[in-house]
Amino acid sequence: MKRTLVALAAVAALLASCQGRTPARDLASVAVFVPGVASGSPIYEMLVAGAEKAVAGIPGARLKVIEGGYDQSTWLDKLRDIAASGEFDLLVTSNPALPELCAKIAADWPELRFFIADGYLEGNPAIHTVLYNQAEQGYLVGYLAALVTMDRNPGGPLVAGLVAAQRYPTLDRLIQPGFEAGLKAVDPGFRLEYREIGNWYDANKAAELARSVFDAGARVILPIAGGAGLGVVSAATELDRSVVWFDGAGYQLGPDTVVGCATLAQDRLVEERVKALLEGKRLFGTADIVGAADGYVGFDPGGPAYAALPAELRLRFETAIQDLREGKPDFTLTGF
Amino acid sequence: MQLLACSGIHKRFPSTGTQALAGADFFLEKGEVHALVGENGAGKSTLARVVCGLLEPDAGTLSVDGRPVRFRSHRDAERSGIGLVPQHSMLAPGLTVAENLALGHEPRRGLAFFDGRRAVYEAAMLADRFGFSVPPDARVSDLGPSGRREAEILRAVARGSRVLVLDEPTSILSEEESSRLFALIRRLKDAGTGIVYISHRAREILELADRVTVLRDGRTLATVGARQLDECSLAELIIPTGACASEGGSRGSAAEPVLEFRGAMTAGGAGLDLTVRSGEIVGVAALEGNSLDELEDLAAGVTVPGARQLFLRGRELHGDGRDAAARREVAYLPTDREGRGLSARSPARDNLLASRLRGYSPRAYAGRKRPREDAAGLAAAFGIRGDLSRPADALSGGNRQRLVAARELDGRPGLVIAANPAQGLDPAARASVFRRLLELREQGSAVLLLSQDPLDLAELADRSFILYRGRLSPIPPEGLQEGRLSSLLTGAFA
Amino acid sequence: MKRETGDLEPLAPVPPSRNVEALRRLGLSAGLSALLVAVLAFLASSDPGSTLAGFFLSPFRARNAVPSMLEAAAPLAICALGALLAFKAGHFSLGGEGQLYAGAFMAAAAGAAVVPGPAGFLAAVLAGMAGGALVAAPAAAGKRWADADVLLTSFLVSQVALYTVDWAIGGPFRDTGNNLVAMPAIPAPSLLPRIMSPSTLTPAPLVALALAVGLWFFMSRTREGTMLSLYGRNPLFARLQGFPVGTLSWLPIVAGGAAHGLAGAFLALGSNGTAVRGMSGGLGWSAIGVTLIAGNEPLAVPFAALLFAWLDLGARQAAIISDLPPDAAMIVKALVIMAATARPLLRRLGGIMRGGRP
Repeated sequence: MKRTLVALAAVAALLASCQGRTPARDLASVAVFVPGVASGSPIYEMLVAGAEKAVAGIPGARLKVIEGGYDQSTWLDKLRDIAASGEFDLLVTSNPALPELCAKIAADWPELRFFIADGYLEGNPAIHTVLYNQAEQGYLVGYLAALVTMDRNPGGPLVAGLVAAQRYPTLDRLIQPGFEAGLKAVDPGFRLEYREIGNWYDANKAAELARSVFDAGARVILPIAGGAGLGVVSAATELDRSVVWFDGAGYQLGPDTVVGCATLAQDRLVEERVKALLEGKRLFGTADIVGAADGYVGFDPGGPAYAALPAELRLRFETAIQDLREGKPDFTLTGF
Repeated sequence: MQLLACSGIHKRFPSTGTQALAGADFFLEKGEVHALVGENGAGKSTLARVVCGLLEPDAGTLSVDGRPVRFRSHRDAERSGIGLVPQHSMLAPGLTVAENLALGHEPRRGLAFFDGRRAVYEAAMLADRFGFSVPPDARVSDLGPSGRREAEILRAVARGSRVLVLDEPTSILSEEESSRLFALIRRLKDAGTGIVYISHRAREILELADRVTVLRDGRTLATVGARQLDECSLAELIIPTGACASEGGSRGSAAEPVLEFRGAMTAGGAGLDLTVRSGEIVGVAALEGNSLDELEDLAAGVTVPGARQLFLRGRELHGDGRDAAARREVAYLPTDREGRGLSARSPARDNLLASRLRGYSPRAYAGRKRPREDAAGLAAAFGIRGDLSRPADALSGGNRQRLVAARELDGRPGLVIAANPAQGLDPAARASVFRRLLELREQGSAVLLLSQDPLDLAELADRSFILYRGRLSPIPPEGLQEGRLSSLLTGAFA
Repeated sequence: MKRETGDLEPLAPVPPSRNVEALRRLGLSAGLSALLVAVLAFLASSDPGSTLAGFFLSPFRARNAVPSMLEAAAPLAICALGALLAFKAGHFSLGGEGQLYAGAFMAAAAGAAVVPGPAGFLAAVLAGMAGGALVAAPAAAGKRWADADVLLTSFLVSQVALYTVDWAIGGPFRDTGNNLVAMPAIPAPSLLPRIMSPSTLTPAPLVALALAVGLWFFMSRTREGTMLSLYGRNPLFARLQGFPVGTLSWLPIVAGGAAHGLAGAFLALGSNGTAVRGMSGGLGWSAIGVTLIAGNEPLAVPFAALLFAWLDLGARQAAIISDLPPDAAMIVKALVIMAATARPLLRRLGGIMRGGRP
C-alpha cells in the first residue's frame, strides 16, 4: 500500500507540474469572490461581468470567479483560502459585509489587495471600496411605488411594502429611509410594511410574507432579498399587485408585475475601478461614495410594465429622477 | 425401660466402601418423640434402616423393651413392634386403605374369601381411635400426599407398632397438612407410641420432639433435650459453623444469615422462604419451568424483589442501583454466562478483573503490571487458555466459562450464587469449580447453589431443596443419592 | 488455588495491538482518500491536474497552510473525542452539532460580556462547555431516569438547539452594526492567541492533543475507564458487578456535550472572533465520521481529524484553482467513512497487504 501511495503522489505532482503553473506570479491575477451565488442575483452578475470586461482589456491579466455560497459563516474561511492559495493579487467582491472580513485577511496577507463594491471601509491601505448611495436608489423606487399605489387604488390605504432577507446597516441606514422618503415625498401619509425572510434564497417564504403584506393593503413591494425576491414577484403576479426592483434588469422576472427597476451601474463601476487598479492607479486606502449625480444610481425605464403606466405618472416620476440627479432631495453622504 | 435401644451400631457398605455408621447410639422412651438429625451422610437413614430391620449391622446391639433383638428382615422388626413410615409410599395404589392395612392379615369369611367389609370396619375403628382423618375405603391412588402419609402411619399402627420411624414425614405436605400430622403424632405419643422422627426442618423438630439425637460421620454426637435448643443451636449441632452463642463455638465467623428470602414472590405464586447462612451450601434444584431462573434473577439482583422480601446480611435489597455496594460482596455465576457474566467484546483481562478493579490503587492500575500479573495468575489457576488482551469472545466457549468462574469464585465473597455451575465445563473443570465452591464454604462464604441437575446438589449441598410449582421443599440427602431424581423433580413424592 | 503449570498449549500468533490496528486503519483511510480524490479529480473536474494540485500540493506548499490545517482539525478532534467518550459508554449521542453551536453561542455571549483578557477567555470557555453540556443534558436525563434511547433524544434536542441558536444569533443577540448575521465581536484580548500569523494557528490543537492523550489514559489506564468500557458493552453485566451504572448512564453524555461546547468556544474564540450564524457548519457530524475512521481509538482521533481537515482544505483549494464543485470533498469523506467502518473489508485488505490469501 505504501508503494501505491507514493506512486499516486508522484503522479499527482507530475500532473500538477504539467499545467505549467509556475510559482512566480504575474501582476494581474484577479479573484472575483461572489458572496452567494451569481446566477439569479443581478448585483453579482454585474460584478462578474464588470470584472471580466476589465480583465479582458488588460493583456496578461487573468480572472477566476469563486462563489462563496449562502452560508455567511464560511466566507471568512474561503477568503482566507483565496489569500493562502497565493494565486491572486487582487480580490474583487461586492457586499457590505465584505470590507470587515477582507480587513481581517489583509492583516495576514499584506501582498494581497482588495476592491469591494457596495461596501465602505476607509483607511485600510490594502482595500479600496465604493459605496452606492442606496438611499437615492430607495428614494426612486419609493417615489414610483407611491405613485403606482395611488394610481391603482385611489383613495385606498397609503401603504407600501419592504421585504428584506435580513437587517443590515445599509438597509437600516440607507435603503429603508430612502424608500420611505420616496413614499412620503409623494404623500406624507404613506407608511411602510416591513417583513424579514431570514435568508437570501428562500423564495417560498418570501412569497408567503409578500402575500401578508399585500393583504395589509399594500399594492407595491420592494424586495431586498437577492434570489428570494423571486418569491415576492410570484406572489405579486398571483394577486395582481406590483413589485419595484433593485439593482438590475428585474423586468424580465415579471413583465406585468415589475413596474420599475432602480439600478446600480455595478458593471460599469466594477469595470472602471478594476481596470484602474490593474493599471496601477493609487486608490487603495480610499472609500468612495457614488450616487445618482454621477450616474451610478439610476432608473431603468425599459420595462413593459413601466411603459404601461399612465403617461402623467411617468412624467411626474421622471421629473423626480431629474430632481434627484440635481440633488433634490439631498442625500449626500460623507461617510458611512 | 427403654422402648428401643441401639448401642454402638456399625455398618459398612462394602460396595462403596463407606462406613455409614461407626458406633451410633440411639435410645427411645415410651411416649416420646425423638428426633434424629444430622447432615448429609451422617448416617440417619442407615440407622433407621437398621432399626427397621432392613439392614443388619456389622456390630452393636439392638434391644426392644430391654430384650436384645436381632432382625433379619423387615418382618422381624415389624413383629417386634417397629413400624416404618417411609418417605416414599409402600402402599399398593390400586387398593383401598383398608385393603392395604389388611394385606397379609386379611380377615376372611370362611376359608377363602376376603372379608372386605370387616377390613374396612377394623380400619375405621383404628382410625377413629387415634383420630385419623383418612377414609378407610378410599383408594390409595386417589389420596393426596397427606392422606397417603396418614395411611402409611395407620398401616404401621394397625400392625401393632409401638415404635414408629418417620422419615421426613412433612417433606411433601403443606403447612396445614403438617399441623394435622403433628396433632396425630401427639395423639400417638400420648398413647405410648415411641416415635423416631427424622427431619431436616428445625422448626418442626423443636415443635414436636422431646429429645434430639445428632449423628455425625456415623457416630452419635449428642443427645439433647429439645427444650434446651433453639433453631440456631440445633443448626450448630448439625453443622458447626462456630458461634451460635453455644458452648465451644470457637470458629471466628458467625453462622449469620447472609441471604434471606422472606416470602419472596415468583410467578409460581407462593412466597419462598429461604435462608442461606455463612459457611453453608444451600442447594435448590428444579426442572425447567419451575421458576428456578426467577429465583436466580431475584437472588442476583436482576429482577426487582417485592418490598421487604430479599435481604443481604439483614439489609433489604431493592434490585436497583441502591444495591451496588452490597452487590460487590456477592459472587454470581450466572446460568447465562455470556449475557450476564461477560462483556464479550471487551478484553478478556478486563472481564477477569472486573470484580476487583476497586482493589487497585489508581497508580497500580495505571502501571498495568499488577493487574496483568493478577489476571495471568487467575487464568493459570483456572486453566483459561487464550490471549487475555483480546476480546473475551475470541476465547473458546469453555474458556469463557472458566473465565466467568475464575472471576467470580476467586477471593472471599460473602455470598456466592452459583447457578448451574457445571454447565459448559469439562469434567476436570467441573471438579475444579466444585472444589472451589467447597473451599469457599470452608472460608465462611454462604453459597446458594441453583441447578437443574440434582447431582450437583448431591455433591455439594448441605441442605437441599426442590423448587416445584413455586414452593420449596427440602430433600433429604438420601433422596438425592437414591437416584430417584426425576420423580423428585416432578413432585411425585408418593 | 493450585496452579496448573506446564500444560499450556502454544498460543495462537499474537494479533497486533489496538494501536497498531488503529494506525493501519488510518493509513488505509488516508490512502483510500488519496485514491478517491484522484478519481474525483478525473471525473468531476475539467482540469484534473489543477484539482490534484489543489489537494496534494496547495495544502502543503504555503508556509501557513499546514498550521491552518492543524487549527481546523482541532475543533473536529475535540468534538470527536467527546463523541467517542459517549460511544464507549454505549450511548450513541448524535447531538454534537447542536452542542457545538450552543457552545459557540454561549462563548460569544460570555466573551463579549466579561472583562477582556484572560478572565473573558476563561468565562467564554466555561460558558461554551456549559452550553454544550446543557444541550446534552436532556438526553442524559432521559437515559438516567427513563432509559430513553439516547440516539433519538440527543438528535432531537440538538435540532431544537440549532434552531434556537440560529434565532438567537439572528435576533435578540445580533450585532446590528454588522452586515453579517453574527453576535457582537469578542474583544481581542479574550480571544485565543494566534501563534503563527498569518496562519490561523492557536493553542487549540495542543488542547485537542492533550484531550486525546487524556481520554486514552482514562480509557486504558484507569479503573473508571475500564468500568465505563465494560458498561458500554454490557450494561447488565456492569450492574451485576456493582459498577456505578447510575452515573455511567448520564455523565459520559454530558461530558461529551461539554467537549463539543469547548470546541464551539474555540470556534468563536478563534479567527471568527464571535459566533456567526451557521457556524457549526456540519462539524458535529463530521466529528462522528472522524470517530469512526479513528476506529474509536482516542490516540488516533487527532490524525483522523487532520485527514478530514486536509480533505476540506484540499477541496476548497481545488475549488479555487480548478472548477471542482466545493462540496465534492463530502463524497470522498462519506466513502472513506464507509470503508473505515467496514471491518471485514479492512481485514481482507489487510490480509492482501500482508501477502496472504484474500
